[in-house]
Amino acid sequence: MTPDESPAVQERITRQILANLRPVSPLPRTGILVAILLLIAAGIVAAGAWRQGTAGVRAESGSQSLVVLSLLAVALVAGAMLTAGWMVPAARYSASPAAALTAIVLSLLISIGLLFRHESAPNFLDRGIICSSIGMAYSSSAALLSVLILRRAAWLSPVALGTATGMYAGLTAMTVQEIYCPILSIEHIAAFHLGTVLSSALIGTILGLIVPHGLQQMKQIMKTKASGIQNRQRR
Amino acid sequence: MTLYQQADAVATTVLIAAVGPALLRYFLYHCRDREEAADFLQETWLRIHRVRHTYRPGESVLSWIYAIARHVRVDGYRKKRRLESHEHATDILPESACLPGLAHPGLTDFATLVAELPSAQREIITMLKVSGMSLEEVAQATRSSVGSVKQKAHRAYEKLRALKGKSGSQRGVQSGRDQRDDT
Repeated sequence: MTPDESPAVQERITRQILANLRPVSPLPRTGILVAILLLIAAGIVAAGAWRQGTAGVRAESGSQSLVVLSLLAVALVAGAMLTAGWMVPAARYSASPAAALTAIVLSLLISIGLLFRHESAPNFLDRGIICSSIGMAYSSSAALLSVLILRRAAWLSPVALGTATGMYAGLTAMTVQEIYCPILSIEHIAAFHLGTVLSSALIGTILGLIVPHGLQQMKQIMKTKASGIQNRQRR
Repeated sequence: MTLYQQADAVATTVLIAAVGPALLRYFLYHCRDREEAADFLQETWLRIHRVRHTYRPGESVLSWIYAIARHVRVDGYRKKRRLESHEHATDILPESACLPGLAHPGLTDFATLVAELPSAQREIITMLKVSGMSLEEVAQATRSSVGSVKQKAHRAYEKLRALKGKSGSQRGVQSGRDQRDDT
């Protein structure tokens, strides 16, 4: 079949599409999507500060909180832009989420290494697990709220979109942790604050891998069941 | 495209008729068989229809459509690989129905030459030369930089030139033999 022999295929496609033609409203511009994602992050951070307190910022020196929170703000904008970019096909600004995650984690790690020192912290693991679970709760909230926007995404690259969303949610949670957590040990911040970003991104990637396959399988099961019911009704 | 989003039947038909043949050619240059190319075309249009709300007026339609087509092709390839990994051949079959250089019998010399290129270069040449997209549009559709597209296109042109020269010299030898046979 050369393109000249294709009218039959074209006609079939046209018929299929015309049969399901309904008006749709286009997705808002990338800037608006980024702004909504940042508003969600700001809301989560404000709720976290209100609920958990601001002991972390009070314990840190001015330069420590200024550098870390500014870096997190820049990373959050990058994360929101990346998420919005992977929502549509052929977006103008869409770096690889893995590369962006590496760059963000490395820059945060360097700044933490330069700003914080080793401090002997009793119950390192227990306190870390509590801090991490609070972080993951805020990360899940950010991810769940971002579904309000993500449900209209094209989902062409679910893994990339999952990683980007996970990273954005993890960065939101890390901001909350930086504000409330008074433990200033470098090991704690690197393992349990930065760890939240990495775990969230990993969970996003895994969900991006699993969910589309699960949905496809569910659709196939539904189709098989529906055709079985139709066959029984015919008999 | 905007009229298609507003459910205008005439605009939709015009869009499918305008882009369809170039999309089919894009798939034909990448697939081994024609039925598969037609299936990819149909799947692409169904996906375009499903995600038509993600096109924003004012942006390049071709980049948007080809980005979707590219995903359909890659997904199809992965699915095929997955199926092939679960299949066990009971008979020894030839690797391909056609020789690599004659992947699409009946197609033009261009198609035969393009079939010799690596997949990434073939994709870029098809988008640039068959679909008439600009470097920026190709970069957007493939989520890469303009520089990378330029580099791949340059390498593809060099390879095509070499292939063209080879096939030209082979034809020259053949026509020389024919002349000698005639005399």
